[in-house]
Amino acid sequence: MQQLSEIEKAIIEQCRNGNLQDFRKLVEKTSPFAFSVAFRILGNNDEAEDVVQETMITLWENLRKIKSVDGFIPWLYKITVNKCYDRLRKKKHDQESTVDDKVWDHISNRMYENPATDIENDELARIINILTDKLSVKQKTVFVLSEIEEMSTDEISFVTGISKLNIKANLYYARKRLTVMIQKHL
Amino acid sequence: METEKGKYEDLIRFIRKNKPEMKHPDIVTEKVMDELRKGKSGIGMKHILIEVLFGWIYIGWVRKSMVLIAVSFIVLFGYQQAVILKKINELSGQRINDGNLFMTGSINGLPERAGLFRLSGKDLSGKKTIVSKKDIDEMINSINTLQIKYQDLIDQIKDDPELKEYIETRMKEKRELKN
Repeated sequence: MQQLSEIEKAIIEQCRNGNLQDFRKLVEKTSPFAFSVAFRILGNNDEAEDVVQETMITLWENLRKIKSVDGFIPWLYKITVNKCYDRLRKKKHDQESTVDDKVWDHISNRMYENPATDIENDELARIINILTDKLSVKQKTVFVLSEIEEMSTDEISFVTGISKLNIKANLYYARKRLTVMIQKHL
Repeated sequence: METEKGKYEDLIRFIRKNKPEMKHPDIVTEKVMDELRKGKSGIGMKHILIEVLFGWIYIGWVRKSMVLIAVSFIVLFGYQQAVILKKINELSGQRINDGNLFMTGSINGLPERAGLFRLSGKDLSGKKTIVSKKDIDEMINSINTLQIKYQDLIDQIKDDPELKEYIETRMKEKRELKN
């Protein structure tokens, strides 16, 4: 999880006192964290930006309820993940995607032949979607937070509200499914 | 299996390395600030009002106290129900039924118990039985009246051996019929 600098902590304190101008600075500083999580969970740029926007508004409305400034980042992630969670649950019923081998060839090519070149958001979104498409909402969220965002089990438990045991179980199944996919396609 | 594990780790590393970047961070920030500015005049006031009215529920000790009070009410309700049930069980144990009439009150003496025995048609245990004083008085009066009438009848038939014999025969027949 990201850590806050002293300056950022001071900005948050100002925001807690209702300073909207300082909140702009806070949005600029913290929206990339929220975007990263939202994008990796949702696998969609526009939706991730919408979630960031909603998260920031919720954050402003509830900033005074945070007990201390140190709890800010976990709280930011919690709000973001909850918003993503709602969207994923809704989306899961709406769409069902299919993946062909060409896409896997493309991923393999990106991983091993051109690893130095940065990939665009759209391509990254496609890769994440392919990897996590068959996972449940919980498995997907836990997988992204643990494996990609590198959060600890305690942090994931706070952010998602899922018990540690459940997190481990979900992560186990997510890894297992991905390993099967890799075995089959990569 | 080792190869799969290696590939899995390569894939995770690859995704971690490629951090997504916001395409329009300025636009997002502007949208957020616009929403908040709008909110400050309209929805913001509503939010402040809600905060003033119900904001206290977020105070830790208030919330804990409310939970404690709610739990106390539930316990009290449970206790009350248990007491009521116990009372009902006690009362139903004390009920005496003679077919149509339910009687409650207190009874101690043998004649009264005997009267109840006749009314209920059941055996009465030595346990405390509750009947009303009014009912007991009525019953004792009726027994006394009956005894007086019986005595009058005995006096009347005492001088008439034929009538006495006739009545005794009839009573004997009735008793035999009953048995």
